[in-house]
Amino acid sequence: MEHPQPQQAADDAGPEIVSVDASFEPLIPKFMSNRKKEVGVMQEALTAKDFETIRKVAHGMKGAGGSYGFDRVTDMATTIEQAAKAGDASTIARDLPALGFYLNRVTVRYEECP
Amino acid sequence: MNNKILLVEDEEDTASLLKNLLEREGFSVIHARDGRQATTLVDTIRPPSLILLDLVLPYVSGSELLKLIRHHPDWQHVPVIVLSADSHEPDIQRALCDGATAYVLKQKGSKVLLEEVRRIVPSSEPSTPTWSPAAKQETAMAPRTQRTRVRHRPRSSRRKHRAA
Repeated sequence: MEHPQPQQAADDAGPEIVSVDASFEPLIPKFMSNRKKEVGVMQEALTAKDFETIRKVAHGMKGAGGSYGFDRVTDMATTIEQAAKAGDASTIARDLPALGFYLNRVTVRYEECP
Repeated sequence: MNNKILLVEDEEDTASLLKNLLEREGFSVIHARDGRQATTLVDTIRPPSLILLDLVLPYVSGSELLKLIRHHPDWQHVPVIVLSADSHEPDIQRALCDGATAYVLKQKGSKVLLEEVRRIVPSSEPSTPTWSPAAKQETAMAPRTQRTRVRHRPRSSRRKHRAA
């Protein structure tokens, strides 16, 4: 089974653009802000070796990312969730900064439905 | 006309998005933020037209809630769409066996979810019993392309629940 490579993806210097239905524009700032906060929560949890918190937060992020169309967020959160289940601190330590980097870099393009 | 949907979702942003989408479709949305709140609603309000149910919930899980609904005299026939970020086959099978009408993966724009909601509860028509033969046939005949992200309960399980 192939897994996404978030670190590699985040290191790619190309632009990161996510297209979202324009009617959802009012929801996006809060969505982005909450995801960034969650990266911080997971970083703290990693320091405390609290894998259960990381698993829960990553699971929520996986669903939210999918619902809003942020597929890369979903991929990264999936990897982190799996690593948390396995108690794999090194993968989480590698992928969390990549997720934070991606969230800071991504550009949202609002598209009107025809 | 009963166009009420109970949305059981603990993730705040996902709930906001779904509420927005459903209200735009003309549905009235009641939102339960966890399994305990949903359990209270099952005991206190009239059954909605449809339930959208996340599986991973605080206090009472989506699976437990689904069983509770299927054994409740007034709610047992309400269609339940399980909405999940997980495509783990055993989870899908268990949800369908426990009485879920359909299992939909959270995905871009939630378009498939909306199609499924429209199929089960057309907002422009009066609510009809979910388990009517016509409704079941329509669900079973969903195009193959939609089955990739939507799974429906097998006919044998439906009969079992209908008879229960």
